[in-house]
Amino acid sequence: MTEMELVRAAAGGDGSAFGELVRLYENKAYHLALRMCGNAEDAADVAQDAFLAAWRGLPTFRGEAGFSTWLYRLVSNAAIDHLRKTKHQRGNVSLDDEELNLDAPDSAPGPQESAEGKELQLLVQDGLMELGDDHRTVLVMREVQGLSYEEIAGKLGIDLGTVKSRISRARTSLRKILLRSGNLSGYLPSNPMDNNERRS
Amino acid sequence: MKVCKEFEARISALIDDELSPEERAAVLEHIADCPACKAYWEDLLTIGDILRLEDTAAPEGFAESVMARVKETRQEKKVITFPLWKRFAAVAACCAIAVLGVWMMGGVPNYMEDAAVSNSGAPESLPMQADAAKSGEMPETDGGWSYGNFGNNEPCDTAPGSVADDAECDASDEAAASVIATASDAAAEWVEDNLGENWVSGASYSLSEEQYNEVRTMLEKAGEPFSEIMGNETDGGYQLLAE
Repeated sequence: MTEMELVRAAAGGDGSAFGELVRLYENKAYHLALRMCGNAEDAADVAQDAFLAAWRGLPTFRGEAGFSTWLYRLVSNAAIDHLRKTKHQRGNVSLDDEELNLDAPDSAPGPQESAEGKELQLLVQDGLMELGDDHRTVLVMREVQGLSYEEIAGKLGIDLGTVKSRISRARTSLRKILLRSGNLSGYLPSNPMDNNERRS
Repeated sequence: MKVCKEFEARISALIDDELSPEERAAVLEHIADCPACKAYWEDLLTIGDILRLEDTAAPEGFAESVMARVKETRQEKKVITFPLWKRFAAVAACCAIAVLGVWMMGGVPNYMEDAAVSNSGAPESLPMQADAAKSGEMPETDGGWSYGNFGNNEPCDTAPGSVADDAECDASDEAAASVIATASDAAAEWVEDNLGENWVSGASYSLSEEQYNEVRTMLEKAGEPFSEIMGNETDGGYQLLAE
């Protein structure tokens, strides 16, 4: 079956077809949820909620945007809803719009950690968590979900200028955090400890 | 070397293609001449690539746990199958065939009553699958789900004279007659309290007529904005759409 046929069948109540769609998109959905939420457990819950919402909403899905775009939106929405609901339990460390909060010792990766493969992903996850919800969500919505500034502003109910500055600060901060580990020379060319030749 | 302060935010916007043509030209011109800003720009591009790098797969058994929850949902609720007009036509066709079938057979056979009370919704002509559905186990085909066995949502494709199929053409099935669409927090709370479901934007929730009226009254009283699409009420089926 083509994807469109799968979507149509699933919209008509075909569980087997929907199961196929889940398998096709579970990694993508989980990945976005992980970036938004910052930890594996919440990401799994959020991705699951999104697929359930997709199952319920498929009959009214008209397909203008394409299934994966629509699913991504459900994941993003579910993540935002989840973050709002759990904000107080998590004692969310929110990145002040002026300064970088690097005072959380538990989440800072040690300088000895290598940044290859899985370790890099954990580093990135930790780094994203250090940003705090507000900065992390706009950055992920832009970089992973691919929304425009305007779409992000509309979805979160904040103005365009705020989106622009939050994304910029999130990037600056995340870059600083990733550079702390010292071993990202393969990824970040302007690491001060390596690649001296790149500096003039 | 540090990025030039006055270009930092604009380099970020450049990456997102959110600069005016003039600003874009100005920033690109600066980057060409400034190694620090060029390095910063490249770093930001790399960070984007890292964020998009999908090397964390969904956990083991994720798809299975999704389908388990989907199955639970299916046992409680019914879902819209296809547009209202098709549904109406299908019901009309079923009724016509039922009348014809009864007339041809000279009366109502006993097994029609059995089919009507069967709570699995599967036609009597497929007893094995009906039993499997009742016991919660599905026959193994691909991934454990066989097409068409999943619930009561089959389109009413009836073979002429087949009385058992007519039992599925129950007019009180599915077909959302009316839909309330809202982004209201009060609705979200109601769904969580009364349906035990999470409120997710883009999802739609099936309600009984009573629940539907309760939600509408609640939203009206609270002065919460919502839109409503009224359908053919004799068909039954009510939906709450989360915006």
